[in-house]
Amino acid sequence: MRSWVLASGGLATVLLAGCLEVEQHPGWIEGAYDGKRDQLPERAHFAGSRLAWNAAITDRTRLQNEYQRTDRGEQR
Amino acid sequence: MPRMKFICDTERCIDCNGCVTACKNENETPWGVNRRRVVTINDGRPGEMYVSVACMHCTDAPCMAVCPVDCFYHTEDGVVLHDKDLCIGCGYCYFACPFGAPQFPQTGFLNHRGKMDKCTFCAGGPEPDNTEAEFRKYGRNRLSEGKLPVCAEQCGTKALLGGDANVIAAIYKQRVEVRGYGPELWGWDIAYDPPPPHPPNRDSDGPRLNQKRNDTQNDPGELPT
Repeated sequence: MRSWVLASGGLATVLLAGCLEVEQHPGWIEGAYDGKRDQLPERAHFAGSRLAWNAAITDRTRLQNEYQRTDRGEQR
Repeated sequence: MPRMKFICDTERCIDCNGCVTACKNENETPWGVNRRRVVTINDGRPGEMYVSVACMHCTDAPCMAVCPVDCFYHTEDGVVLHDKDLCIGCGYCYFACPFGAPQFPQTGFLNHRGKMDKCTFCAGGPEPDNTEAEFRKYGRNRLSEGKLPVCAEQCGTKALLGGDANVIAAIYKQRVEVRGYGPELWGWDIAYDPPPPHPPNRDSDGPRLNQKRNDTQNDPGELPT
């Protein structure tokens, strides 16, 4: 008798646990930037001129090529 | 439109850590936060090299994909930045980043983990440019002054290049064509009996004249010692 009670209790627990299962895969949410907007870099010192800013940055980038500065690439 | 990237030339990097120091100095990052680090590869073996690593400003950034509060954004120039007012310091980006770029300051009360901090390509963040608020949260905004990141600009051997991807890739390509590549740059021959220099081949996008088909980049393989 006691074993029957235990078995039925266990069975009920298992069944109830099954009933409590919830969906574990939430739906997809399309993420997009949610923070503050940033200023464009040319605003502060280039009066909003994208071309002027771009020229300054490109000059600096090209200056990193010391072959160009020393002409070594041509000589070798 | 430029697409800002870094390249570290491992044949030139001498592990001086100047970039790390310059970055900390320029941005006044707190104790324990290194936006840039120099990593040693093949430590103590033939072909030992160093590479300076920070945020690589990925075009398809995994930090941006995993951020639960969507605080990351790409600027017009392809720089990956984030809004510290939104960041909750969860650390997902740290695990997603293949370069270990996100850093978490622990200078607050009881050394709790603070909001994420990372390389900004010296482009500040979403605060008015060159203001005290921007400097305090994100560091210097050199890009808005028409300057490049300080780590790249101060590099003594010009191992670290920063700027528009197309331009720095062209600089690197010219270097490789002039000086050679990979295993041929290491060992007795290059020290005492260098081969004649290769003529630059700038007109073509095809294989380099000095290319060895079976070599992989920066992998010296079984070099004689």
